[in-house]
Amino acid sequence: MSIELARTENWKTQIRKGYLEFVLLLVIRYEERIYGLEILEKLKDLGLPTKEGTLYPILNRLTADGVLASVWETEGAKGHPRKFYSMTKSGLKLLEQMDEEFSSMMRSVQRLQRKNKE
Amino acid sequence: MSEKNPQNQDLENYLARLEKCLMSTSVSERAEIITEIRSHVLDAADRDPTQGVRGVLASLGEPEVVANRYLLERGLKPSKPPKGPVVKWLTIGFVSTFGIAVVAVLILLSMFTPLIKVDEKANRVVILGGVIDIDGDAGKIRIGDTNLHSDKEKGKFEGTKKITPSKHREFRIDMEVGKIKIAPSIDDRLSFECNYRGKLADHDLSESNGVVDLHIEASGGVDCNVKIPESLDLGVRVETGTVNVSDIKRSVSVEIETGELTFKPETKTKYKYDATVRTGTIESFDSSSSQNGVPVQFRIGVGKISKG
Repeated sequence: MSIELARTENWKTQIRKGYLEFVLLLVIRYEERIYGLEILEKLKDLGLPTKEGTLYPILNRLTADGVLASVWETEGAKGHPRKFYSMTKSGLKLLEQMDEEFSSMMRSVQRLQRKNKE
Repeated sequence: MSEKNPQNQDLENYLARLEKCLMSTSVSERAEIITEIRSHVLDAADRDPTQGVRGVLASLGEPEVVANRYLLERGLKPSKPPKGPVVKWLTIGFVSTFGIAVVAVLILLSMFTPLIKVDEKANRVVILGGVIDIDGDAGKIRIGDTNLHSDKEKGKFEGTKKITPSKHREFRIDMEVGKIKIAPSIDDRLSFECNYRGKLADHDLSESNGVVDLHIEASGGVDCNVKIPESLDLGVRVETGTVNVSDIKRSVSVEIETGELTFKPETKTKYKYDATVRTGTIESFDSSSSQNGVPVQFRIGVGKISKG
């Protein structure tokens, strides 16, 4: 891999880390009720492939912080209990704040992009 | 199921290693994590039989690494893998070399003593033996060989904005280098008048969610006079420079990385002060113990806070 490509890939990794949690909460809010493997599939479809070893610890923290609620359900035929996640009221408020911050950041970036094109 | 037994044994071995690394969590939390990972591996292996349990475990990563991610996310200390003797001695060698380098840097820094000199009488802050020189009385800032406040003014910009108290709650100003003076306006208009030196890179007044933002970038520094209506809270962020705030009745937050703040309290307002100067001096302010005290927060990296 060339140095430039490695640099770009590294930047992409860093920036994705920054908005992964925001996108994760957006997915859970949209789906209302969803479990880990499904979340991974949705993120992959969105062009944000995420490692399982990254996702589950984040879900664990968000649940401990009261941002997400979780409930175990066992599917009769297979018997694998699955942990379903949903947004709490506190989580919805946090998501609203993240949304505002993200929008503000995007506006600043777009302003700079316009100036660079002048 | 018998052909899957070796793979299920791999799964159980993996989960046992994972559980061992999660001993700093509670029993119930550990059980939930193990159950969820087991469920994930079996589900993923069912969906993609070509991968199987071993493939899913490989994708998950080493159990020690996964466990440490859980612990780090929760602010707990990650578990350390045991180090071999070669690694141990390499670490000792590296740390020793680093220690020698730190001592060398400290010796070099001591050549710039005093690191920071605050002359209250002359109203001046001198850092690193004069590398940065802020003269509050003359209103001059010098960084290295560059005078940011010369007598030659290059340009000026100004603006006003009508403030509606129900719509606007805070004014924030963000500046790289320069001098700002902020005082209350006599009406409901926010106004600013700035002289700049060098090239004006960016100057932008925007509004979002009740906050009015003024962002300024100028290579030679800026000298601004700002008037804000009484209904607005104030936030100021300056990289290098001087800030002068007087008679503001609402909450104030000022952050200066290097420089000086002069704050003149409004005579009839009771304030609750939260002030920190990492390196420098700070005058004492009378903080109100009342619940209704107006919150005021100052954060200075290197410099001083004076009473106006």
